[in-house]
Amino acid sequence: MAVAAELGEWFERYFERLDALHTQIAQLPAEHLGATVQDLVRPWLLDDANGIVGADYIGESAGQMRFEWWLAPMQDNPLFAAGSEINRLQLEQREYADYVRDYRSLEWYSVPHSSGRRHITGPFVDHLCICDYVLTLTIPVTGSAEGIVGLDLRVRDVEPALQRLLLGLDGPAALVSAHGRVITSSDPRDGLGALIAPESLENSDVVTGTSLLVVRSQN
Amino acid sequence: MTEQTSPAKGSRTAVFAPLSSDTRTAQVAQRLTDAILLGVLAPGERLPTETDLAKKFGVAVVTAREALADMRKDGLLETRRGREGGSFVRAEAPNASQQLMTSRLRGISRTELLDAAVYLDVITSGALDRATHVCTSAEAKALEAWLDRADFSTPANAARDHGGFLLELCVLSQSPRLVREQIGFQAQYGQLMWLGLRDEALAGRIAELDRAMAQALASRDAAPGRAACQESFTLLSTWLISRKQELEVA
Repeated sequence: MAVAAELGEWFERYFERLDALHTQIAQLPAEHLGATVQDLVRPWLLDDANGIVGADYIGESAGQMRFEWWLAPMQDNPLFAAGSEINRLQLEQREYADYVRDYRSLEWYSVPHSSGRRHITGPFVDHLCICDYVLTLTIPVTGSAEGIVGLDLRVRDVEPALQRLLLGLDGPAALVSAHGRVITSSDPRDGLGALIAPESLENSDVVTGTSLLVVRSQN
Repeated sequence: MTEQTSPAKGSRTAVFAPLSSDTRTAQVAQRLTDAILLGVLAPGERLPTETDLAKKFGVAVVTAREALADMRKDGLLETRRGREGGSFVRAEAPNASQQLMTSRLRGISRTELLDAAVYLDVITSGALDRATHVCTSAEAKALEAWLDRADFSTPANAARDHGGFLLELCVLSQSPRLVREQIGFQAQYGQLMWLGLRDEALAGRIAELDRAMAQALASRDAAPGRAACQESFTLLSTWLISRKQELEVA
């Protein structure tokens, strides 16, 4: 099915960015990790055409946990003052997030780490970063540094591009996560974060290279 | 013929209602003071620098500086100089906490307290209702498992985990707006609302009610969860108002 392949290519371009970032980070000595990695993702985060609202590296390097996660400039966030520069995610400044006991158990970290493969988490409300509805794309990092490199895509920003592709089908359809949660849909009846019934998922097409599915609406 | 109706007057009035008259300095000091009262900021703990605080609250550095100065005057903070210097929560702060709580409760009206509890109840139980429709079984189970490991044994931990639980519920509603409201409102009123967790018996009951909400979610039956949510906020606001009453009668 052409549309599932086109959607696959669309996501592939983001994974290519992550592969390139991974290669660059793997070549860095641990002591350069902090200073250099923000420069690698700054252009992504300052370009508001690509929907990327957070990106970089989280993991363990030289025996130390590193949280090198950078966020796009924000105008309307309950947690950040507005600005025009990228911000480093500072978990220690999120006192309400103290209850997140171990982010290594969270899906965007644990799944690529245990499977050794790329993973798409969400859609979900990311209350640690930009407090919006996002998809998180992550790939595992192995070797001297362990962890993930990844990026967050804000759903409302990427929705137009995904809709254009879905409209290539001859009827309404939803792009959903492997769990059946709607990312965006050309069927107006699909609500925010709706779950598609498991039996409908059986007649779906896999988006090439991902675990996402395209589900056509019944009648 | 349909009758031409103009928008209700009330809604227009609300749009142009004056903004909070509290100064930003007072708001910053209030947040930090509430956190000390609850033990979220512990005696001896170093606060972030003025610059970091200003960034965090989205206020001018001078505002953060003034708030810290006011708290120093109230005997809550002390300043140490040198490389390891900064603003620290005074070791004596817990002794001052009864007095602090007294002034905090005297300074807030019953109406404001009750309204804060109503608002938190409505956004939380609304999110719970929504989440029963859109969360997966795995997500509901994960939330129950998380709650199994929650710690309600000290007021500060109970506040952290109770607040965190309510936030996770909102996350499962899939609505960024509900999550933002929950974060914003907990930031403003959370530390005050959770003061009842200093009461061991009440903390135990709040933990049970959190469990009832998680079970309601897992069984896809929102009604008992909404009832638990309402009871939870009613107990917490009643506790605060009872303390306020005692102060005013004494």
